[in-house]
Amino acid sequence: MKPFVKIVQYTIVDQMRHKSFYVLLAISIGFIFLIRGCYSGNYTINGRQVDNIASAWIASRIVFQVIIMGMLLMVSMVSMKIFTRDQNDGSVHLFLSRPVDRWEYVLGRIIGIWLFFLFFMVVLHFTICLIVWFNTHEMMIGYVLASLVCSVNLLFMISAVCLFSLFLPDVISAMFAVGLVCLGFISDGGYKLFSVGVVKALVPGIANTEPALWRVFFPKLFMVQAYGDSIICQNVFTGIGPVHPLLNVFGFIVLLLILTLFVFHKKEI
Amino acid sequence: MGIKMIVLDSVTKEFGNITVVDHVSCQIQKGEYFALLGPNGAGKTTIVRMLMGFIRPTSGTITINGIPGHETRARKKIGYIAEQNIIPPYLSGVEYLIRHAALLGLSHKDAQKEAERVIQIVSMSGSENKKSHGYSKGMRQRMGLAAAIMGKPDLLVLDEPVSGLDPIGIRQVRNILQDLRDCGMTIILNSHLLSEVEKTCDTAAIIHNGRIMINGSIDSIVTQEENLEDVFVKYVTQE
Repeated sequence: MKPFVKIVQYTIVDQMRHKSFYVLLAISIGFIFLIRGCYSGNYTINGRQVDNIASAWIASRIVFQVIIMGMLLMVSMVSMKIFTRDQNDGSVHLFLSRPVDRWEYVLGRIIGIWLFFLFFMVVLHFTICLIVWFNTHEMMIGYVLASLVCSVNLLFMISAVCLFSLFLPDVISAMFAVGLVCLGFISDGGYKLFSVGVVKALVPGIANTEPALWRVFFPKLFMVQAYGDSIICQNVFTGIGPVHPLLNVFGFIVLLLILTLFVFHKKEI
Repeated sequence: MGIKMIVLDSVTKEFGNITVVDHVSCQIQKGEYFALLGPNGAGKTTIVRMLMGFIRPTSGTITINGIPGHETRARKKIGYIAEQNIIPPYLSGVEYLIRHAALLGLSHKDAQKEAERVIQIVSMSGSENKKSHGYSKGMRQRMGLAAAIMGKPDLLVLDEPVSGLDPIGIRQVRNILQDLRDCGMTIILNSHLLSEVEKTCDTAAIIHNGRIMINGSIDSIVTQEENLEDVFVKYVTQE
């Protein structure tokens, strides 16, 4: 276990060496501060003052989703290069010429990247939490918890890109994984949209449509984010199919990791 | 007969339809300084990579100190330097060495001490805190050698360790390796420098087209010939 922990540690430290990380963090926090007015909730509609807490919550819920999507894109770009870069810069020889199991190396890299971006995402979400608290004196208790829950989406993306990068060129592997996630977002987003009362009334017969089986068992990243949103709002969550989206995504992560380990175990270095 | 450090038993490696290593069998005793010789593409580096577990043989077995070569624990007491030793460019020499030591299970304090020790041995004092992208090829090779000898391994696998070194560097490495051999370390040297091998090694194997052409002590190989180079040319040019 010790080499695994070391590799996780080295992965995080190496990511923090990149100046681009600090630039991105600064830009992201700057973006959140630039739109801080959105969280103040000082809106008037039809001459009536909108409840400032409610509008602040809606704005922060939207930004919550935007941050996760941005993070998904960022982890796909970082993960696609893990194995290729290690091969090119000698890191893989550094690790595997020592008594380090291949699973320790692969999982160490993946978990390291995940923890790094998890921290990054929680910092951004926590910043929003603080701004809303400062503006409205209302603490969004479930916000950081929802952020932690949605971090499984990042782990899914990292695992998928790492697996694909063992067969495909780096950019293609990232695009392929992003494409898969987008497909899931369209499928589940559509389902969620059609379950809204107004849309049901506008599109006759939609209420009786059962989703196809592939849609029920497709990676439910969108639904995990919807579940995160329900944690923030403290609403009852209704998903698609019998399996909770967290279990669905967790199951896919396990499958992807097993496949990655299997393929990497056979890989010639 | 000494204690067997490495046993290769009918090891074959195929890449698609190409047989790179063809039923190679040999034994290397503990404390032996063994050279793997052969022209480019003979299969030497493939044998080294199989020894290190980077690739697996298509057939045959490799045993290191009684442990199957593909098992992680076989690498506990092996030091390795690659032909083109690449150090991650964002690491300084000392950081690189500390990582090696940490992966061997040393605490941070012990890793630092061990790094200092090996830096002294390879004469890299003063350059250890520079980022490795500023190192010359020779400096990278020396740092690679420093990493390889960390933790005082029982077996040292060296793939062209003097590649890129100037004559003084070559002499330094030769002296270091002699000292390590004198301490009882087993050394496998993959090299093109026949004069160097003749000077330093106890035993050698000449490989051509993935097969061992001749294997034995240097004295037994060069008995009837003028020098090792003549033997080498004779074996690699014969069909």
